[in-house]
Amino acid sequence: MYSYKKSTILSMVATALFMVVVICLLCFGHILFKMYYIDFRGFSSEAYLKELASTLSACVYPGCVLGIVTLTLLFKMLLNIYKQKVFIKENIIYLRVISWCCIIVAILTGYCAISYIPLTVVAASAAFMGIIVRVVKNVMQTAIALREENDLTI
Amino acid sequence: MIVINLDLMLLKRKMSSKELASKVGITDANMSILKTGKAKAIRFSTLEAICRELYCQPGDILEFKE
Repeated sequence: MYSYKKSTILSMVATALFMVVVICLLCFGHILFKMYYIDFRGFSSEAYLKELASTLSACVYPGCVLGIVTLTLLFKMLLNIYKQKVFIKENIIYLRVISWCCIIVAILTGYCAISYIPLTVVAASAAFMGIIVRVVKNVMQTAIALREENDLTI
Repeated sequence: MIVINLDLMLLKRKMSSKELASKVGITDANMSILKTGKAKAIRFSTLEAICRELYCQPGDILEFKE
């Protein structure tokens, strides 16, 4: 039980830290873009860099918002797990929203990858993560149905 | 669908559901689930205990309806 609680707390701390990073990216992203712009100034044309910066802004900022939503729901789900409420319908809703957030990020980054090819990796990762979360959601849904059946067996 | 006619049998035997629950060894909450038809399944052991306490056959409690 101790290790179970410790592990859940560790996951919650990791989620919270990741959320701080995403919030920082949302707040100070423009500074990062400026640095990126200055570093590459000598290698690419002004127009290309401006297009790149706008593409990244259009992709990173909405991605950050979706990331915050995902991490908040993940944190809530971990809180439920900590309270020993694992197989509940609330967690299914959280997983469904997380999955959709991943898929939206994949579509968003996939579209932006047209102008900035390396974003394809992010798009593929997000899509893969979305599918995995969806499968976990399906497994959890089945587990809840089994538990309900077991609870209602007299 | 399967309908549980437990109320009818309890009336016939003049027994309360609480009494039956304690004799069968299930909780009042589970007895309520059984009576209201919310139960998804019933164990043979529970059915056997109910039949024993109510002096009846499984068919007297369970009924199939279209």
